[in-house]
Amino acid sequence: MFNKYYKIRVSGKNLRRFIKSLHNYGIKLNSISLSNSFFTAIVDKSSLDKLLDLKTYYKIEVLDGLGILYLKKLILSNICFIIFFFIGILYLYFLSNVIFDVVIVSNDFELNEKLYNELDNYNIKKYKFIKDYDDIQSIKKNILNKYKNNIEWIEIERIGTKYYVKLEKRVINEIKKDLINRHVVAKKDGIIKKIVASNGEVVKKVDDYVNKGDILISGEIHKKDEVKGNTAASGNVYAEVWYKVNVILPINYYEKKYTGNSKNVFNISFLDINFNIFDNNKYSNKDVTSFSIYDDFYNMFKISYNKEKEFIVNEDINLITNESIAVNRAKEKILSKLGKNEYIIYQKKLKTILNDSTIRVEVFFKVYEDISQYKYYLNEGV
Amino acid sequence: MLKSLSNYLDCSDFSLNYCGKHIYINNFIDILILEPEKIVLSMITGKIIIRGNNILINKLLDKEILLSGDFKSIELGENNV
Repeated sequence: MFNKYYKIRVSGKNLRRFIKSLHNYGIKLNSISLSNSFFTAIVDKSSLDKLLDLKTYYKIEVLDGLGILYLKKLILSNICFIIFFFIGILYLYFLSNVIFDVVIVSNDFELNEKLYNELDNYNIKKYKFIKDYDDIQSIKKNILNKYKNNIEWIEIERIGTKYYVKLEKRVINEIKKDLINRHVVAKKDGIIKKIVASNGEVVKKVDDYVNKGDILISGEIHKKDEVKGNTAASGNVYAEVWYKVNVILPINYYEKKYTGNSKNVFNISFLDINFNIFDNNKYSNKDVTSFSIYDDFYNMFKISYNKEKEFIVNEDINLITNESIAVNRAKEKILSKLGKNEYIIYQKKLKTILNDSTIRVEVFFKVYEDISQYKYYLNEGV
Repeated sequence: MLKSLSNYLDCSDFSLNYCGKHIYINNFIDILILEPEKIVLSMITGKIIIRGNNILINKLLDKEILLSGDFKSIELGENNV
């Protein structure tokens, strides 16, 4: 396959006659280039041997090796370049097959930490060799199996010398209670004012009086007094309900009224002595928010930065004012319990009882309120 | 078919291909005359005389020869001519 060829140069007189005679000796000549005083040709090894064995006055020179010889010569003359070229290729291959960073694209830091540890176990970490496609697929599968409650989908993507781990967290929804059979029942006594039923059989009417626990919307579907099926009843039932609220206030009740004045001061306290620095206009009544700058171990000496808000105390409150304050307190108490679409229909102060030091005010409220709540039950067949 | 295949692979018949400034001859026996204006080759059935100007041998193997030059004529003759 790798024949050795040589380029020769033959010089002398009457070269055509010499060429003719070479044919008689069985010497094969290729690519003959003839000039007046010499010719060049390419000969194989056996022809060259025969040529050199000839006893002739023609001058025969071997100019160059060709084929494998030329290749050998070329390699030897460029050996440094070739060695460094291959070293470079190997180095590049090495560097491009090493992991320089692993990035997990997720906001869940706890899960990220677990994943980094997990990837470490599979040698996907800094300064380790990259994995082939089959390994990555297998690692993904194993991680998904191990964190099947946390991870919905995972992708390990290699971009350059970095691995980007993209994942989708698994969100496990709670079992929908809608699928369980239930009734809508009254959570307190009242007169029904509005029924909004989206599922189930409505068993009460508007203006019906209901007690706590009465079924308002049934999960049992009846047909001629016979239960034909069960469903998860759902809906809202609004009713008029009643409250009596008692509010007790001290007679010497005072009211804080902020003046709107405020200031920031530095305060030093040592044992019982307490004073503000550069504070010429001291507030007689104030709310103080304190930020400690320095305090010793025993709290004997303390420097703090205080925010002071001035207020005045309104002590001139008579009985009527006291009552209205109590009614407002009662109203606030009711309103705080009401939700959307719920409101106070009517309110009335029932009585005021004055004691030595306190005043007790009883207020009646009529409230439009959602009284529905779910009650779950099992089928008879279950 | 086998005969034609064998003949194709190991052809022993004399053949001459002329294309412009080159002549390729296969299965000749010997070079009788080699001059710039004339080349005479012997073959089994006789000899071939090629005339022209600046005739050169490009390739010379056992039974093959490739010539180049400005060819004027190709003649066939008998061995004793």
